[in-house]
Amino acid sequence: MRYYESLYIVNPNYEQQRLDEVIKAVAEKVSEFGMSVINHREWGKKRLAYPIQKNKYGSFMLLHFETKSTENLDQFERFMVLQKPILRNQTVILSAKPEIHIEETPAVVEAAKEAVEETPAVVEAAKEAVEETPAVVEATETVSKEEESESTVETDLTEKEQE
Amino acid sequence: MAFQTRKKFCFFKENSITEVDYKDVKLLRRFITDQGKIMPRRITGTSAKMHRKLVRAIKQARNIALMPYTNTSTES
Repeated sequence: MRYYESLYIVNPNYEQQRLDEVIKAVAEKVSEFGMSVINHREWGKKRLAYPIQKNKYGSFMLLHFETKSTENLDQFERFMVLQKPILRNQTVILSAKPEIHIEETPAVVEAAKEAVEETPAVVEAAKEAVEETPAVVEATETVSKEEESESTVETDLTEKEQE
Repeated sequence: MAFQTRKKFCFFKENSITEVDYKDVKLLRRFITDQGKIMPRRITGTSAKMHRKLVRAIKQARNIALMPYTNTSTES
């Protein structure tokens, strides 16, 4: 089994719906040629190092696929070149099977955060932080008391001046 | 006072990197000049094996517009 990675640039002026259509068309063509898709995702909108068809930006798409025969690779390349929405494409061979990309949904991120919070080191750090706070509170209290006493003295003085 | 030359080392060997990915533009940028030219091995100190892989990766990155072929000052 051979593994390939294809990175292609889609016209940046396309909205999400048309982008999805392009992705769908490519995915269908890949499976038509007897290749199986491993990963197919948006790599993000990036600034191009040089303008392509007067476009400064491009929506990058990353496609990983595997195939047994290399017969249809030329046809796949031909198909990609002929697509109008695709500005540029490049297919390279991979030495090892690519990892399956799992998109980070908000729920997954939250779960990860919770897992981090539960670790003992973090809990201990939090405890220490709590222990430190009373001292700080005391310090602030003393300061406020001093201020109060000063203010009372000042008021006395002002009263005397008024007399 | 002796003139000290800085010892050159292979960046990839130091960081135990065996493969160069053309998508890793941040890494590749270390090995090109301001003009966008690939820096020679005698300056970067990269090992011959890794330099070949590096050159390949930079050229692939250029093809897919991740890196410039040239970087002229007139460019806006």
